[in-house]
Amino acid sequence: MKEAEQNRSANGGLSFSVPLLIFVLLFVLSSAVLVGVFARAASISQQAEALNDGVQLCRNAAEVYRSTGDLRQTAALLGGEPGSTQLAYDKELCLTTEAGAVYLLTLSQRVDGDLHAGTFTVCTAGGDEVFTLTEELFLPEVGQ
Amino acid sequence: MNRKRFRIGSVAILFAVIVLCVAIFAVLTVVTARSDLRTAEQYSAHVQAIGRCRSEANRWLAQMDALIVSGSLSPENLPANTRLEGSQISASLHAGNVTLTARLELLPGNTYRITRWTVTTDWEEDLGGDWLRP
Repeated sequence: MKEAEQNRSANGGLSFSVPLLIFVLLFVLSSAVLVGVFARAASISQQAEALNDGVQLCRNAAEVYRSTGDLRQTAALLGGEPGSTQLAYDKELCLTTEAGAVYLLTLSQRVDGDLHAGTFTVCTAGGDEVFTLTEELFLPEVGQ
Repeated sequence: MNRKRFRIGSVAILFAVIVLCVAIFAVLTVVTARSDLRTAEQYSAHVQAIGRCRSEANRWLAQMDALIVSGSLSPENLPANTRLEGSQISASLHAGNVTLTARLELLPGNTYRITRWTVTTDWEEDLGGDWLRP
């Protein structure tokens, strides 16, 4: 009699815990899926933000280059050392040191006769290229 | 017999509603993020198109400068998309949906003056409807 009561009690506990376990499992699974979806959304947002920042930095540098036509002056006007070919920016797009850099703007120039082509490339600190912009200028020599 | 029974029905419904709400928020977050990325990509493509158009126009100007300064300007050796009308030389250069219209005025002594240098964008109204597109 006592044994039968114990069996019944054990069966009752099992029948109680199985749906509870399934319920907890489903909840954990759905939570994991949702966390994954949110993580994906965060990743896409970060990508969009980096692209916007990259475009802004390149466009700014290209406009300065258009007004000067000289890479050395462009670097100086952007706040770097005159003649420097790489500028580091933080998340707020303020000039910083390479140690605290989020973005690296690389300036390069190719001169072909009177055509000066400035290329501006923004990479993340990790080295992933974000955006590149090339601005070609016709700058005839003075007196020509 | 005094057995306690735990009812998980109401708790399950509550959690299901919570999970459903969070799932809706998650989908909306992804849709918004994708929309932001698409806008950023369109903007970057537009900026690159303007850069390409300006670069092409500068190359065209270099060609025209060489022809004018050397005195060898004639309708036969004009670059493509270039028109010579009297003392006016004009060209329309395209890159993507961006058009740069340039015009030069020939002056005596194999010199010239730039009289027009305008960038315009062909724009079409985005009526939406494809906001779920990846």
